[in-house]
Amino acid sequence: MTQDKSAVRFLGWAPLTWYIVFLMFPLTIVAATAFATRGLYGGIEWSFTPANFARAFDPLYVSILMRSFLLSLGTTFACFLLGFPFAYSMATASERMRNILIMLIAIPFLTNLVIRICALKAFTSFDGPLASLLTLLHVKFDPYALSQNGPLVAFGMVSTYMPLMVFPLYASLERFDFTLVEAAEDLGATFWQIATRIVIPSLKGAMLSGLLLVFIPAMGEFLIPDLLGGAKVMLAGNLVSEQFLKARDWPFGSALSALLMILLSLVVIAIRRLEKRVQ
Amino acid sequence: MLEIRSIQKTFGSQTALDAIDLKIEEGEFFSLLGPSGCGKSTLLRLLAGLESATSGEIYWKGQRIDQLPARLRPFNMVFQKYALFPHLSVAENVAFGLQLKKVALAEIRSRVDEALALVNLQGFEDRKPETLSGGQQQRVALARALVNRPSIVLLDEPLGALDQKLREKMQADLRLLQKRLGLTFIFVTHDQEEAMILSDRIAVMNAGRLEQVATPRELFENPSSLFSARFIGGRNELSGRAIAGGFEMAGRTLEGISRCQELSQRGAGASVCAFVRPEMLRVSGMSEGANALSGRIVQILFRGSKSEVMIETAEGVSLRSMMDPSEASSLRVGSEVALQFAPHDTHLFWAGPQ
Amino acid sequence: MTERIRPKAPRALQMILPVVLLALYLPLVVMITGSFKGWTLDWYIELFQDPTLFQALLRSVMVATSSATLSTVLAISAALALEKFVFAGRWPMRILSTISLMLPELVLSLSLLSWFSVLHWELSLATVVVAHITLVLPFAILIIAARLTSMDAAVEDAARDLGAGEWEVLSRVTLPLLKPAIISAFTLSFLLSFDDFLVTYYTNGAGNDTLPVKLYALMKSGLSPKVQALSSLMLLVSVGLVILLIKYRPKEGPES
Repeated sequence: MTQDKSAVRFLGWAPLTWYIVFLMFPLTIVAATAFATRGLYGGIEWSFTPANFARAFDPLYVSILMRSFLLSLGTTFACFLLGFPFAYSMATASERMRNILIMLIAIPFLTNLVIRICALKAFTSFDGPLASLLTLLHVKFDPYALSQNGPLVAFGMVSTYMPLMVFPLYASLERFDFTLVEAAEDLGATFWQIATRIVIPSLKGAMLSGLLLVFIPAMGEFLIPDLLGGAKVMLAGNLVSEQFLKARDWPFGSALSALLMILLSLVVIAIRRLEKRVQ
Repeated sequence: MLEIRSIQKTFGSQTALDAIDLKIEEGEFFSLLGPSGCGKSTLLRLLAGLESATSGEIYWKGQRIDQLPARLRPFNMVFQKYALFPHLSVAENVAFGLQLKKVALAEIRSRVDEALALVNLQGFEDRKPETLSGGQQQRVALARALVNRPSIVLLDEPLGALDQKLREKMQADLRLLQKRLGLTFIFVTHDQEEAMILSDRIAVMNAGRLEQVATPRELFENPSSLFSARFIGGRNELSGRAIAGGFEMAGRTLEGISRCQELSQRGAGASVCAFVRPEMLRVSGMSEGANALSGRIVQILFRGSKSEVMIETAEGVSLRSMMDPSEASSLRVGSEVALQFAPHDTHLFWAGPQ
Repeated sequence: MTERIRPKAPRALQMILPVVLLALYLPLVVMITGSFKGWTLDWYIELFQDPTLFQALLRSVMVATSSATLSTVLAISAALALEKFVFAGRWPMRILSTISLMLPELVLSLSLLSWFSVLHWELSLATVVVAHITLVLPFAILIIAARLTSMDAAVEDAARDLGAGEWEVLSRVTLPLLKPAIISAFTLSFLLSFDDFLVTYYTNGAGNDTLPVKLYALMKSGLSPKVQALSSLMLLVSVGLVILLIKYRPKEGPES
């Protein structure tokens, strides 16, 4: 370390202050608001009551939370199911192909979510190509429900979060020693055996990363169920958002957010524990 | 003159430098020699001002400088991996120090040309470091230091990454340059041959301490510690015990070796090491006189101006003798011979528990 | 390094590649072509003539530029403080950075909303910029810090030895060497800010819509071809920026 006493040392205080002011304080406020009560016209009456938390355990809300949990879990699982073959094919492709694939998978990921959803909606709209295709195949369907339904939400989730699962998997596979695979093939193993016994066990770290990157944001997802599910699909994200904007019940919304955060923190801690065990 | 007084440097619980006292004269080519981890690079960085000592002082021409940061010291460093600025051209690299001092553009130009000429890199001004070979990069690093006309040039194993031929050439060039410019060079290396070739004086370091500070010749002829004797290398090492009568080894007692009496009184088994240079070990067919060991010739290697004879004693100790090839021609591999060496050619050191 | 041919996965598995890519790109491609075919360029013309859309675009660009600039500057300070200097706030900063990376955007937005309300700070584009910076900062720090650690520290020592003070070391050596990472961080920040919907939705004042929010509003009221034209245009711009980002990605590995 340098012994020059220069003002440069104090550079770090700027970003730290930013984080404290715009991250720590807001989160503290949410925690505090969670204990408050809703004022008559939607304001906040500062008090200290656990009523909001109690209300959050109402079966109605719990079921929504559960649904989000299951959907996020399912999304993560589906992303892995599809993401692993994708990452494997990428890692075993030629150098040029690899770079092209990296770009191809990054582009949708880095473009606006609203646009991508817009494209999906256009595709599945009553006068869109999907409708035409189904008519051609003489499949019965409800044209107006085509662009707003549960399965579409699932599709939207998986297609949005897939790149986030592929990145860490690919990063790990890129460094994988494929001579192990060759040795296994030489010894007569089928691909299924190779994948499950040799490759996937080495990917534990990457899988945990992928889990973190997919599951956590998926739990808070709002746009996809909102635009692709219509009023029928309500997830945790929509629920919380509603409290803040429509119902104007900020304390309750804060309590729900806090619970969500606690749930996610527990998941992260569990994941970190798993990570330590893997290493 | 550079004076280093009682310099101590600790990193947490580790002591990198322990009570270093050194005086280096102006115009000297001074080397810090030792194995990795001995603290030589740390000492160099302390001199440069890139690290600060835990305690102790450094004086330059009578003025205390250890409190000064690197940029205020009249020394410049040539780094091990050259540390050239990759985003600047060769000329810009060399001019860096001058630009910081706000020297006039015209003067910068001429001094940079001068420095590049010194290291034979004229014409390379606009090249980028990544396009240069290792040897060329090293010379740019040297020019970058020299252009500032420093009082002392600090060199941190600059030749380590070069291949043998290039190294030898650079060694010669460095020495020439130093003498020509009359600068003080403080050179860090782990290669004892290199230190011997280049230096006016050498400081042998081990585990943060100075083992010996001497001229190359003195170091070679009179190593003052077990470590120095071993590090200089190439010697025959005989392990044994010191007793009142002499040096006892493999059932034989060799008399007349100095310090035996003194070391035998250290107790605890009095284990010692005797060092004999190969040139001092004489091989003959007959066992004569005291101070003789016997063994069998294992190999005879012809090395141009000298022959190397490798012998193994009955106890399994390997020894080497260097002699004139004409002498060696009368010896046969596999024959039993007697080995002799004079007591005054032997250096004895304590090898027991410290 | 010689390119080693790696054993490929069975055909069936490899088929997933085109299937996934198809699923990802088909809707996009269809939308872009659809906005031309049949509807010709009329919709694009109408698009450009709509003043509200143009204003929304302008606001998006302004917000993105401010957010990207400020967060890049903060990120440089943060990365330097974390890697280089003995900085007391190191641990708090690392912890807060990790937290913000793992926070769902929704929670971030709502907590900032609450905070702004407590501060009686009226929602406007300024609050949006503040929110965006908070959102984007950890990513920018990650990019710059990664490049810093792989940089050879000896170069900075060399600069000090040659007479540079700390600020000079920064401006003449460290920052120029960080340039590719700085550009990457800026581009990523710009992209994330420009494309952002959620955070903007909650922290913006009324009538101040940025482009993504405007798009959302339009979509809610039906999927007119004008909307598709707008989407297509934004898509093409995004793709262009992404290609730029990937091309100027900071190279891995230490530089001497």
